[in-house]
Amino acid sequence: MQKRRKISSNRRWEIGGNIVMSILAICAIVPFVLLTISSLTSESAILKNGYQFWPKEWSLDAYAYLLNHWKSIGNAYLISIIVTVTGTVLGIMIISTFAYALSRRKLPGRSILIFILIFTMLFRGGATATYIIYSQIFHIKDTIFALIIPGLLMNGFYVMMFRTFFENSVPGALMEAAHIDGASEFKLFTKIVVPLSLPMFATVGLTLGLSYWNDWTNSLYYISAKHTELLSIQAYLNKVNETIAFLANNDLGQPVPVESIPSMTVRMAIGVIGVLPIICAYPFFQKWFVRGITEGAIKE
Amino acid sequence: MNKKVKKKIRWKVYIPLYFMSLPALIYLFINNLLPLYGLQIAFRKLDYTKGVFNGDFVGFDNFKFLFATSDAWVMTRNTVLYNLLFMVVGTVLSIAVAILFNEVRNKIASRIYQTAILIPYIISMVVVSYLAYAFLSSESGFINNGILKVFGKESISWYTEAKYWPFILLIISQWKGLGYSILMYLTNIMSISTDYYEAAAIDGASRWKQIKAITLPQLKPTFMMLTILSIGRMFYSDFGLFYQIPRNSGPLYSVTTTIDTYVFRALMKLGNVSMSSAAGFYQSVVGFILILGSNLIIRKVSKENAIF
Amino acid sequence: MKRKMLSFLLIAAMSVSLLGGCGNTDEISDTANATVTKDTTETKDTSETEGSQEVSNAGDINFDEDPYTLNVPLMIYGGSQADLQLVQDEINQYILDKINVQIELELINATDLMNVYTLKASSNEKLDLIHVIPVSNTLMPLVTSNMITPMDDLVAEWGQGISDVLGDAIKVGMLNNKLYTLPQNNATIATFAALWFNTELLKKYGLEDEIRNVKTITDIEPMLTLMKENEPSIIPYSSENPSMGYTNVIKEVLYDKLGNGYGSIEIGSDDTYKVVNYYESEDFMRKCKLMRDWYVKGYISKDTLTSQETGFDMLKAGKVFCMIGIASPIDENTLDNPNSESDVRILWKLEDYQALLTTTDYSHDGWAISSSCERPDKAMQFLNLMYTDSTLSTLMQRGIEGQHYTVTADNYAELNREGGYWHILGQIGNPRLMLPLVDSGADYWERIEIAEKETIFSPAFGFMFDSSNYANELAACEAVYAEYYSVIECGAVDPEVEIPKFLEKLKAAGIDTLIAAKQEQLDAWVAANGK
Repeated sequence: MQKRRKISSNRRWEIGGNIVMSILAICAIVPFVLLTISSLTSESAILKNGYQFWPKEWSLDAYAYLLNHWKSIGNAYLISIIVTVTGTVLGIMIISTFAYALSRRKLPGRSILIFILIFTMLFRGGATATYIIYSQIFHIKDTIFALIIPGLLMNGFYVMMFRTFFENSVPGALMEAAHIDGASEFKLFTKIVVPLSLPMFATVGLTLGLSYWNDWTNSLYYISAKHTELLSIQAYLNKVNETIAFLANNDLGQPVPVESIPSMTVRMAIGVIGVLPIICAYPFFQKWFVRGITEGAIKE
Repeated sequence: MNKKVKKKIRWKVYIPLYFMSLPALIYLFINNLLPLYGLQIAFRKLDYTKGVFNGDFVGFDNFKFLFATSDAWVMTRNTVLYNLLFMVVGTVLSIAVAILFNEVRNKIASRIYQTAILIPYIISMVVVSYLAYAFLSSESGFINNGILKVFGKESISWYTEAKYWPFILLIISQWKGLGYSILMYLTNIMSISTDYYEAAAIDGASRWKQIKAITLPQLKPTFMMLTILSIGRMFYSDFGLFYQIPRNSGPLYSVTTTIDTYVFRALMKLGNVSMSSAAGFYQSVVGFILILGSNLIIRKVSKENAIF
Repeated sequence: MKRKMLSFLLIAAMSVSLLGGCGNTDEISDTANATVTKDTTETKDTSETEGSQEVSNAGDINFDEDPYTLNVPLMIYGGSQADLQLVQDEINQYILDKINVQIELELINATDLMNVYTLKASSNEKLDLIHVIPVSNTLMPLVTSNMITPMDDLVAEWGQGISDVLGDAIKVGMLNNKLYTLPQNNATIATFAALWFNTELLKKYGLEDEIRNVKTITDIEPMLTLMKENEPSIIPYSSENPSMGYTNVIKEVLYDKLGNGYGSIEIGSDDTYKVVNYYESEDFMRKCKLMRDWYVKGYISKDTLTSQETGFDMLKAGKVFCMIGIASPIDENTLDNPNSESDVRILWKLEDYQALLTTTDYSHDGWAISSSCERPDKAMQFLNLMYTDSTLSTLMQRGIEGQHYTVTADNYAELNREGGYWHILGQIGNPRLMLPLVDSGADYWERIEIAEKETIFSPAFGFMFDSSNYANELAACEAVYAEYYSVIECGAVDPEVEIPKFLEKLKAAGIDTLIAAKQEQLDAWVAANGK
């Protein structure tokens, strides 16, 4: 009797969960579908009829435009990928090691370090001072380092996330046992903590990667106008948008360079291709997620 | 003699930890601490002949515009209220959806769901503003044409009616952020040992009871940390959300102006770096006080969950 | 991250501000000036200064020292200029013997302009010349933060050519009686707001004759009704972009907004220099009411303020029937004088509308010298050459003849859009010394001359308001303006209800303080200039 009740209660939750998640998933995707369809609509159809899920006129013009500019767009893609991968890998290493150190409650000076971390999360010296330091002292202007290092490499928020996870989800008993066995802190970290924290690595990796992928402010500050080869995809898209806004708001009485203003559909297309790599890369992160949980369960 | 030996051992144990912290600390120093001297721009008169950091000291003059008009209080009110709204709704939603998600047993389904709800998070806010327009446009938007007209109702001029916008912004912010915010809770939930649940099941507890007794308490640390950090950001807002989504429409200002957008609009024509610096400083100070305050309170309640 | 974005956006956005007609017409030549001979042959050889007015004080330049390298900003839209080095070398070859200066051209995106200047000035990077666009918004911050230096002495010593060329117009670059920026030597004509019609719709309904009878804005109303009834998916009336407004074509009492519109003077009133609040005027209410009427009738799209397409794109796509846009007084009605665009859109000017030339209209582009420039004298010498030498002007603005532009039989210049150097934003050099562009139409110089004679100058032409002590009031007024103006002016709300609210909020924001300050400064200016 009891067993049946237990099963049906679980089952109900499972069904409920599925229903809710399906609805949410559909709501989440619908606008993206609209985005993709808009990029495949002809420009005049958009202007005349607005945005529709089934446009009156399909067209591949937007993507043709992108292909014509494959050199600059392909280059932008490459930059985006290099910067994202390098930044994420480096960043995760720095962040997780620091967080681990902070998670060891007996560490002398721990409170001070955490305080410094939070303080720096809230108080920023400002763009000007940061720019001066990076360009005058470290000379990274117009190099690829300028896209990786400033601002993004380590974020106090991620350190805190890791720290909380280490403190609460890694069993203390396991740590003590290994410690008594004579393992050094570093070994503890790499052999025990990291494998158990794979979901966290996946989460932070994804977020950090995304922040690199979507960043355009570093380009703005540190890459001068003639170095277009160092533009990332988002910086490229942002420049396009800014130019459009600029032209829309200013009448300059001069012939307008049509090739600088991609149409609405092209902007949508750029939006689509800006998102695709992440969507494709995401399943890999998911694998780590699952692995982390199953391994954790087994070890338990 | 014994004491000395003990001390030596202690440091040796901790040196590797300091070593592990070194890269992060170096980065913090260069990226965050060194530039702090730039904060003084907020208190100085901008004068390039003297150098940007050597202008005359003018105290709080640059801060005045933040409080000068009634608009200034509107912007502060909006910023704080929206943050509270997002925090409460966001937390409830995140936890609820994370729990529900965990109930899905089918591996393939759960992977699909997870990828799907994360997609909005990946799309940049500029593109989201295009999408919002596709839905909310008076003449060609999907809501007016595809839904209201079909039911015989009149079109609504979304971009000029302020009263709908707190809901619209709430929906959009949650739509965009949910996929990500559940990840943290999910990570937490997934690391709870299934032993607890089995034990509870054997004792005859229903699923809901299990969730209440096991899952929710285990989420407390994550919940506390995220809440404290949200409180610290109470005076900041997502610029893209409040500026680009409403498309800078005048009639909506009373409900869409936040500190960040107000400063942006006011200074767009004036371009005073000192004033923008002052605004940032103001936000930082308030945020800092709020975090310290909430941390102190949490400390009293449950010490181990405090941030420091 | 957020703070960084905030500061960036603040700075960068200043360049994305309301221009309203930068470099209004294209390059023009002044045929009346007999000493200027058009330079039609190639300048690949660095031979004589044919076609340029003599740099009158060349003798004072010290050629014994090493040439000074000057950093010169070049504004572009984005994308690099492949032939930049080529043009730069050409220029350097040309100017070395004249003024002992070498330049390095630095590309800057139009949208990043202020950001780049600010960063360079803050971090002591080489910043010599500053191209100020638009002067109306950008000059104040540059002056109050001392990023640029006053140029009066420099012009007196090295800029004789400039003063000769600009004459009285140089006053437009003065603030508080100091010269901060050199305005461009454009034609002194004010741009127009005119009507553009979609050709296809026009022909479909056979409206040519009706348009010919359009003398004032209300004359188009029957056509708008026609459109509304027969073409439900088309927007009858729109604007080029929301910042341009919808009411500019309506005959009005002329007002000089004295820069920012918070305090204007009424042209033709008895008390010429009395500063009033334009938004209180009957004129404003009348214009807004007309728009309101049209909005309610559906002639103006409800999406008009938030649309993401430019007015011109929509006109071309046939989504809009009539659009209000900028034109120059020398542009002709293309209904009877078709040009290359007549298949798509027709320009029609309204007879009863007049344009006023104000300080802001004239001084779009300005050249200033940074306060961190090591050799301001060299900078001024270069500027002087630029204003007086057609070869240099043309090289900088257009590039090298043959490669980047060609000269047609009747002495017009045709730009090569595939060349590696084109579309430099803003005016560089002296437009009157350059050949007009091919699209400008026949008898260009004659038309310019006529237009100049018919220009109405504002009595306050040359006056610029110093707002440095009123930053708070200005910021507050701007916020109120942003909230109310567009939506009232395009008719989306009832002006009878909203204008009073607008005025009340302006008062609360301190507009009266601004008006009083303007009056004070204007009176002083009037006294100082003996008007």
